[in-house]
Amino acid sequence: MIMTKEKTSAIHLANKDLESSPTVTQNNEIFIAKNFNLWYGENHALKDINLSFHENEISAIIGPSGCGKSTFIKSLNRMVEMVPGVLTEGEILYRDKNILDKDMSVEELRTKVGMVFQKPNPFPKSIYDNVSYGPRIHGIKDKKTLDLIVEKSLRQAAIWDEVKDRLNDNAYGLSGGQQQRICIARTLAVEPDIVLMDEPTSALDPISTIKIEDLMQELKKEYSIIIVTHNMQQAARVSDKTAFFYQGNVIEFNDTNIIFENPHDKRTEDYVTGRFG
Amino acid sequence: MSARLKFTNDLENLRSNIYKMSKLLSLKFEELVIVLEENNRVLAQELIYSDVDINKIEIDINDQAVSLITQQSPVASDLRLIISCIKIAEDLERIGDNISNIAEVSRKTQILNKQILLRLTTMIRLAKLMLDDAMVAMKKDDLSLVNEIIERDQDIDQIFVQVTLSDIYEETDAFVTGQIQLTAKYLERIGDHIENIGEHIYFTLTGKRYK
Ligand SMILES: Nc1ncnc2c1ncn2[C@@H]1O[C@H](COP(=O)(O)OP(=O)(O)OP(=O)(O)O)[C@@H](O)[C@H]1O
Ligand SMILES: [Mg+2]
Repeated sequence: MIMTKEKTSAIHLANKDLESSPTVTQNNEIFIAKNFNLWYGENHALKDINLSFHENEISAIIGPSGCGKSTFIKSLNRMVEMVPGVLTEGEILYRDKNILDKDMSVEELRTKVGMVFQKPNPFPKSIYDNVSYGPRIHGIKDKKTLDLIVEKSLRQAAIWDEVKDRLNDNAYGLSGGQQQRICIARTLAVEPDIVLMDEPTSALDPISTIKIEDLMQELKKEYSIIIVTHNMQQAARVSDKTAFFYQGNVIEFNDTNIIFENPHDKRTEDYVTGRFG
Repeated sequence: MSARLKFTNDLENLRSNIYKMSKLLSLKFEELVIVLEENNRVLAQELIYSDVDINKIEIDINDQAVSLITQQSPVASDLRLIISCIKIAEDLERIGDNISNIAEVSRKTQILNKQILLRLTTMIRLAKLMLDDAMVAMKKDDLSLVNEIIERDQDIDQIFVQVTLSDIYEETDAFVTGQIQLTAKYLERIGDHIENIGEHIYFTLTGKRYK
């Protein structure tokens, strides 16, 4: 397992698949999609996607509804396979290992590639149980260790101070923005390598949104983030790179400032300026 | 009306305010030629008074730009157009100030030397043509015309050098000499402002700085 920064992990996962991968990744690339195609039955939802994502960067994916953004990020942790009739072609390399290979362990992949969804989806359990859930299924039983992981994750998700006195309260009793940060803490608790976010702030008010955006800037020091967003200003504010998807194709993938200041493709320009359709 | 349509209309209004401001200046250039050639001091005074009209449009353009930015969060070419309009308006406003300065000089001085008078009025005519063409380039997104306008500033600069380093010695009255030098300098500055406008249009069209 190659890591740019050493993580002091309390969790020891059996990363055999990942550990056996070559020890050098070119240019700190963490994910490389190579001629990746995806079909939902007859529907060719992703077409020859070639993209590469880098360590310690925030990459945004933008594009009109139905263009394949969610399908693409759900492909990165193979969640998309839960849909019956899905067919893929091409490669997605995660740290040089093709995640579509038969011998790839999906559980390990999902531990390394965490995901935060549009709607906060905490379990109907206590805040503590929500956050300690992942580490526990990975076999950590020691209460002290779990306490430490819970505190660290909640701190990283910028919600520790708000909930430290009520860790045993049900997570449902929190506001939407707080629930979303609990879900982020839950994702971080298993110390992933990459965090995927599908419209993580679309259900939140501006203040909670800014909190999550600040949090992303913090997290990027240790993790890599790929975020799907419909909020153009958000993509422009938080991301380093932006990919514009349209009808299952990647039209342009570029530095975020280029996408919003002077995009190279006319279709990108039409989309970011709102001239589309 | 769709949001984008309203935005597009607002951007058009912003542009048309630039054209309006520019058109007023273009007329002022014509009047300035008459002021110099006929030593028409009444017209000179009018030119000074009417500078407020120019200033007012600049303020309108700034207000429009601010509300477009707040309401629409513009990006890419839309944002470049808005930023450029603010800057073009500023250069146009400065051109207006320089025209007033020349008019002010003309209220106190009569330039009798035919050669010098011809040089100065030529500078004014060149400036007017540059400005008119800049607006054509902006309307038609004509990049080659923009490049040409920027180059043309050299013609004005050359006449400036000619007037201040050589023709000026033919004028014997020390006061008039000073006033001619000032007039030539104001016109040279006007040329620079129009060149700037060309560069702003270049930026709007290409997203790159003119080098
Ligand atoms: N579970 C599914 N079964 C069949 N087709 C699907 C499924 N999910 C998505 N699709 C189709 O795949 C295409 C891409 O959908 P996807 O959800 O990836 O779009 P999106 O870019 O995330 O859109 P939005 O911005 O609305 O979330 C669409 O044509 C959609 O109808
Ligand atoms: Mg989606």
